[in-house]
Amino acid sequence: MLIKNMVCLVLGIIFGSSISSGLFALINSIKIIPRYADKTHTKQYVTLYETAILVGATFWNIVFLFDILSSKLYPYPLNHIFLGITGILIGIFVGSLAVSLAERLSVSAIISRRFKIHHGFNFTLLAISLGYLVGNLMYFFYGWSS
Amino acid sequence: MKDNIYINVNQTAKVHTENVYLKDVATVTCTDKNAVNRLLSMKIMTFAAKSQNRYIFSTLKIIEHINEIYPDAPVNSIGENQFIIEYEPPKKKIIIWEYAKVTFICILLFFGAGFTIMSFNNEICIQQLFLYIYHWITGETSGGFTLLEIGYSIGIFLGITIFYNHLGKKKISNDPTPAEIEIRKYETDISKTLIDGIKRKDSHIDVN
Repeated sequence: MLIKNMVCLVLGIIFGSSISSGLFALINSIKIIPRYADKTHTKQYVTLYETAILVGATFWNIVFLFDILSSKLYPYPLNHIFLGITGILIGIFVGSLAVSLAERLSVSAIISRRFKIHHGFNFTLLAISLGYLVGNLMYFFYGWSS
Repeated sequence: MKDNIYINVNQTAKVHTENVYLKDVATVTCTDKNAVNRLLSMKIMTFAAKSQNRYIFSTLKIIEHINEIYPDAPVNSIGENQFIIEYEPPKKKIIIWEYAKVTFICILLFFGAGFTIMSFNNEICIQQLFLYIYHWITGETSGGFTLLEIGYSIGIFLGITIFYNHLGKKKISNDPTPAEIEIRKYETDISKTLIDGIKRKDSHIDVN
């Protein structure tokens, strides 16, 4: 039994390391850290940012797998404030992830060439982000997730 | 003077004073050391307008300046053909503001990376999958908290550490980390785009 459990442990380590390096190679390849570092003029801290990703993924993976955080972590009003802040942070991250992913495939460059758009490019970008916003709100408001 | 003058221009130059000298943007060598010193302290431009703080500069213009001083000396450029000069007004960095920004990005990445891994786990129904794998190996029913899950959590940590090549400030090997490589590429892309794109007369300094 011990040997079988050890096999499980080793397999788990292999699964985890292959999945995490794959998943975070993807995050790295869409250049999300350089963009944040450039926008905030904090390029000398990129290794710190990598550490933040490392700690975040490790911590939240444990939380997810073992149901560590109980729902009554904070008293009532703090709970909702924390929830709101978490929502905004995740929203910013996923938003930049989605747009950078589309950008890696040169979507906007191809569209502007095909449809011969030379002016008002800023408005098309605004339209994209508004589309994300409206789509997201509809998705949650009408409960389309279930 | 008839000695060869060699100049090497970098792709981007950042200056903190309004007057730009050749030593801010290029390195120069020549057999005549006096000529080198004289050229390095040669003024090539001045940032006059307050609004305009970035210029695309042609190396030909520098060669023209050098020829005004030494008309007979051959000038060889071994660097970029066009480069960017950026003027950053000398302003004091507010250290608290910078730390606040870094903290914000760290928290953002902490939650973002966590959400990514959780949504991945959720997508592939990993808890269900681990029940199957555990049953397949040990023949017993998993309680959801086994060595498989513990190993997976350790593996997540190891995988990112190996991929990002450092643990905190301690690097595993001497190579730059992926984010450091990406940020260099990002900067090169930006200067390339600027040089290729901006051909406006007021920000483009060239001969003729």
